Parts: sequence; C-alpha cells; structure tokens
Amino acid sequence: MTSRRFGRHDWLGLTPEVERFGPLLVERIAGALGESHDALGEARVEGLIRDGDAAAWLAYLAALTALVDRGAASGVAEAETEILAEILRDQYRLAPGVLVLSEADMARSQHLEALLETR
Amino acid sequence: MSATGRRKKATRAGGAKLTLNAKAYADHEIFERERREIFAKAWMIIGHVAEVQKPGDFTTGEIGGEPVVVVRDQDGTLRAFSNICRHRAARLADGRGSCGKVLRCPYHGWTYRLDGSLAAMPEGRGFGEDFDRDAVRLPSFQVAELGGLVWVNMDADAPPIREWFGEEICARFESLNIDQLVPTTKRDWKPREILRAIPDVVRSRKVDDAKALIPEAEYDRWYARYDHNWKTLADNYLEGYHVPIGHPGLLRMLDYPKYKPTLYERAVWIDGPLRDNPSKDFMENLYQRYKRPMAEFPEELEGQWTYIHFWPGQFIDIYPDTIDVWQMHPEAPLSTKTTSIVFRSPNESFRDMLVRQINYRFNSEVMDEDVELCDGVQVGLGSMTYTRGVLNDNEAAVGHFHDLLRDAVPGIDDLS
Repeated sequence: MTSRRFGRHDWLGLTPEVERFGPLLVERIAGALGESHDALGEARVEGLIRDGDAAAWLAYLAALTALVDRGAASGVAEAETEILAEILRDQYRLAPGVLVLSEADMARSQHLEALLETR
Repeated sequence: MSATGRRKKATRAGGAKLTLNAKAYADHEIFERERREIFAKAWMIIGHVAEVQKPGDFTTGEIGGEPVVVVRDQDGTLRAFSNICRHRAARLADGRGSCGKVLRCPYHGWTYRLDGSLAAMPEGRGFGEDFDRDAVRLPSFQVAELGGLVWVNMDADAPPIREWFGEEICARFESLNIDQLVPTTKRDWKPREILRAIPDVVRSRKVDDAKALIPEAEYDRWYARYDHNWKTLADNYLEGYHVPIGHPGLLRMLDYPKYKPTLYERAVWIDGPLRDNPSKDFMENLYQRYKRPMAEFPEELEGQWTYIHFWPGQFIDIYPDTIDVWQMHPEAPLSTKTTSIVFRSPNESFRDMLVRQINYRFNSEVMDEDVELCDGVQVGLGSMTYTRGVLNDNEAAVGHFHDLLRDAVPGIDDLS
C-alpha cells in the first residue's frame, strides 16, 4: 500500500452498516432505557452523510458507544446492545483505513473489544 | 444428486458463495468457448428501432466479435445477417444509413438482395460456369424488437427473446419507453473540406449552401477499450458492495442501504434510490435542484438511478435525464471493447442538456475509479496466490452471473 492522505469522502465508506441497522437498534436500546432516541436516530445519520465529516462521524460513534455502555450496565435490550457493540467494534477496526483515531477513540475501541470478549 | 445440486455444493464455503475460478479470467480456451457458447447464443442489442424504420434502413453491430447487419427489407420485415461478404470476407455495411434495395460490398461489388441472397457479382462469368450463385446467401440470424431496441441472436435454436429473458423483466424494460427517446448524435466535422467550400458559399450567398457545410448529425456509438477480461468489468458493474469504499462521494446522493438487486433468469434489475435531502457539494446540489425527468420517463423510477444487466454483457444505466446502453465485446482474454448508445428525450431543453452533462461528469468519475479498481483486480486474478473469493449478500448478482457462466461453459470453474 502506498502511503496516502485520506480522501475527503473516504470516511463515508464506514456509514452503510450503521445507517442500515443503527437507528432501529438505537430506538430499541434507548426505549428500554427510557431515553429519547431522537439525537442518535435516523435523522442524525442522514445529516452526517449529507453534511458531516470524519470528526463528526467519530463523535457520533462515541455517543453510540456511550449508549451501548448504558445498555450493558442496565442489562436491558441485551441482544440489541450486543449487536450495536459488534457494529461499533467493526467501525473502530475499519476506521484506521480511512481516518486518524484519537487516543480517546482508541480507548473506546479497546473498551468495545473487551466488552464483547466477556460475552 | 442433480447437476444443479452439485454446482451449488461446490460453490459455497461455509455460508458464503464462492466466486468463479480466477483462471477463467485470462484463459484463451475459455475465451473462445465464451464467444461460441455464450455470445453466439445470446440475444444481443444491435441498435435503436429509429435506425431501421424505413425499407432499406440498416444498422450494424457485433456479437462477440462477429459483425452483424440488420436491415429493414422492402416488405417492412426486419432481417439480420452476417455482415461479411461471402466472396473475400469484406465488411458489407458500415455504421448506419440506408442501403436502398440491396447490400453492396464495397470491396468487389458483390450485391445481395435484402433477403440475404446473392443478386449478382461483377464479372460473374469469371467464376466459372459451374459456380452456383443461387447457393450463395448471407447467413441469417433471429432478430426482434424489444423496448425500443433491435436485438439479434445468432443461434437459430434460441428461444424467442421474451421467453429467453422472461416476461416480467421484458415488461419492466418496455416501461422505460426507449422507443420514444433519441440516441445522442455526433457530427463528423471535416475542417479542410469546410474551408475549401467557404469561397463558393460566399460567392453564392445562399443560406442553403451555408447550411450544407454543417455535417448531418448521426446516431452514434461511443467506443472504449479496456485491458480487462469482460467478466472483470461485468462483476464490478453487478455489485454495490464496493460503492461505499470505491466511490464514497456517491453515498451523499445514493441511498445505499436501499440499493437492491432483483435477479431474473438472465437479467438483473438494480434499484438505486437517490436521497431526498440536498447535498452540500455544489455540483451534486446543482444536479439535485435542476434535474427534471424526461417526459417519456416512467414516474415510478423518477427518484432513483436504475441499472439493468441483460446476459451476458449488456448493461443499461437508467437516469431520469438519460439512458445509457453499454455493451461489452470481448476481443481477447484481456481486452474488451465497449460501445455505448446514449439516449435523451427528443424534447430536451438547454437546461435538461446541462443537467445531463453534470450527470455525465459524475458517472465519468465513477467509471475512472472503477477502471482503476479493475486494473488491480485483473492483476490479482492472475496471481499464483489467489484461486477464488467469497461473495457478500450485496454481491448476489455477481453470484448469479457466475452461476450462469458455470451453466453456459461447463468446466469453466475447474481450471487448474
């Protein structure tokens, strides 16, 4: 592989699986937690694909990871939480191919790996 | 176990479907068999119905490298022949136009009636008294009109076209109203001839003489040549799995999660819905804001880009502003010629034309990206370390295509 700068749109390649499954999983987990899911739902994903950038996408993944943590801690919607955790783990595994992860993002990635390993 | 059952078992790894053997993408014997057993037995697009409306109108094309001419005879019947003179193999007709009542070879003047029989040849006595000119005929092929296009099948035993592709996909294809569209045209400017004629026009001061300097627009084909096996290009067209990675910018316009192929027996229909929200990219936004479906375009497809694959190597890009019929003509294992016929509305306004040009720009970029990807794939398929891969659900149409290849060319998957 040649060393290259990441393309402006490359991060968009991460979005399909989250767009396909994310909103429904968020709705179920947030619903079980008694939280509003508006801020993390379909409109947020579509808005990011339309107007967002790599940094905004990582911020969204961080918010979803926090939701997974709350779901895992409370033990509600276990199956949905596990699927979302797997999708997020794959996002952090794929991300180094298209963007630069911060220390905090790498910590989230390791946290998700550990969370899924214990299951 | 049935042959189909064996095939399915041999082409899966765990739950995943396997791709075709990589050797099939460069093998000379397989290439020759594909020409004979796939292309020469398939219904192939030759042109648009408008090109052969009147008696004497003809259009030409090729089927897996075999030259074909389609002509409307004096009774109004559409006929298809080998476009090769039986004398010394010269090409009989070139491009499109009217041949009048006969097809005349440009090399030695052998002249054929529009039923394919030999009418006469210059200096006929020179072939000897025993030469049976009545036995000389152009080989004729099956011809049909479907969805505004003229199709030819070289195989006399092939089923009729509607049976071959299936009624449902034929009806969907007809709903595109391509018969009401016009192919984009090209003018063949000859600057030297025009410069030479200008003094005469100036002297005559007649508008008609000036107009005569503008060459007539012709329905035309757009040609390209790729250093890839035709199946490499087809595989790439048939799946959307590479879109987010290979063409990430497209995701702002294309609603990828709703991208959906529907498989037919010898065709695939792919729905690619567009996003409703305006893109922040200037050109994409311009396209979204000003695109206006052609009046002839089916309403139910207005909000999407649609793609059709007709077996073996025919691909139709259907945009609300234009329809592009793209065909592959394998020339060698690693060389594929493609032709495009691009259709537009006959009532296209200047604004519509600009929108069509923007669309052309997007899709040219996508094509450039695809060619680069296929360059890498073609090298990879020739590697000692790679035999075959696995397919994602989003690559179902590739799996379907590979199964058709396995059926059409037995042994294609068994190369070592």
